[in-house]
Amino acid sequence: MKKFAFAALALATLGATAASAGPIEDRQAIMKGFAGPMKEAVALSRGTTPYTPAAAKAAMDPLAQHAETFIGLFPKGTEAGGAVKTGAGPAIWTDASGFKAAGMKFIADTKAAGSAKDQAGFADALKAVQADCGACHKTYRVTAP
Amino acid sequence: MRKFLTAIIVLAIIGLVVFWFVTMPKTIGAEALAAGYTPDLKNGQEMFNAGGCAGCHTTAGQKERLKLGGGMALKSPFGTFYAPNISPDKQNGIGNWSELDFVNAVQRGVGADGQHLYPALPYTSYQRMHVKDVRDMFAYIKTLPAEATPDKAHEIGFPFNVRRLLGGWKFLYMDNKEYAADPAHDAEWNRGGYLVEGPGHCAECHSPRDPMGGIVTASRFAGGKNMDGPGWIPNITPHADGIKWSKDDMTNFLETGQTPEFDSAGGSMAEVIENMSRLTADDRKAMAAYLVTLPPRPGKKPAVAAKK
Repeated sequence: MKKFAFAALALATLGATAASAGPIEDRQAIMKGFAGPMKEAVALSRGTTPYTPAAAKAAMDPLAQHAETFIGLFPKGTEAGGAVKTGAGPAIWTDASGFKAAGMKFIADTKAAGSAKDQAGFADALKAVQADCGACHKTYRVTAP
Repeated sequence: MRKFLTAIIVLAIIGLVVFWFVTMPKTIGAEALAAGYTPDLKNGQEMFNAGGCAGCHTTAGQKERLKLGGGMALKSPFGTFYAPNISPDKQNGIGNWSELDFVNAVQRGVGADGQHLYPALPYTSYQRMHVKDVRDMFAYIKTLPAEATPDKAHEIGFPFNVRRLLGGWKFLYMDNKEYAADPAHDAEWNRGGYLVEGPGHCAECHSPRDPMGGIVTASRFAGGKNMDGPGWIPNITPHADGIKWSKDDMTNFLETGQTPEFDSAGGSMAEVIENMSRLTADDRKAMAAYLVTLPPRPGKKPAVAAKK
């Protein structure tokens, strides 16, 4: 839990400091920041960390919240090929509505997982979230930056 | 001088004859299809998923992975290949193929018309499969919907459009051998080895290729330039340049696409995960058991990725 609190703090700090960098750096910082809560979530789903609804919510809330910021960080001119390296796929711009829908689905699924009743329900809901990660990366992230 | 000319002509004739035989499409005979066979559709489905057939052969521009109308473009330094229709449609698919036609296409890279197929179809890996598994796969594909999409011609320049030359390529890079179990390892590891080296064809993307498009054996699984797009395909051997994952990490990755660092696979690997997540848990575990014991090999993403 301590580790998690630290991760959340780090994420919050990243969010605050990243505001001064460009959108590519910002969105990469958000994605990197997802690792902490995700790690906590997997531990909860497996029972390596004792499951409590509050802990599940605490792991899922930052994901939902930052995903909302994240999908707004793709202005024109931040495609791959510029000065800052990015693995963002061209489909983000050619299929902007699909990209947004994928983001909204992730947000909805993280919220659902955050309000799961028990560990089993959370584990199932988390699978849906992980599938969202993959589905979105498949189409919209070409390579890891 | 005359003698010299004669020698040249004789040598040229010998050369032509050798070329002819080396480049001749070599096929599996009907005797390889054991009698008394009954298709196991469940195993066929497992092989279909392990083989990642849907990854390339799904009808382009739609999302249903079991509609195998083809049309997906696979770019390479040699040109652009278009995955053919492998749905059971009689006109445009493989509805009229015999079992043996299918086995030869998948395991020898020889089409039903007797021509060499391009190794964009990873038959260098599929040759390792058991014929029975390929037959089951065929039986399973036959149960999928027929798609009417006609095939699109590959866009390949000279000399690569001379299919006969592929016989020479196969001579260099193919040995037509089935996967040989290693008695030093247990059954799970060998099942994993079979799935990784055979149907899974992991090495086809995760290895560097030489200028002729063959896998560099010494660097197998050590990553390489992405043939079909930008970027680098990671080294998956347990080397400092690669990944040092536990068997659990690997099993979990094959199911969820999530790395131990909690990143999530993207691009074509996300597609692979869609297939792997459909395998039985035991098969994923077996693949992981094998993958974590790959020989560690150097192979680093270049500091400045080649732009192309």
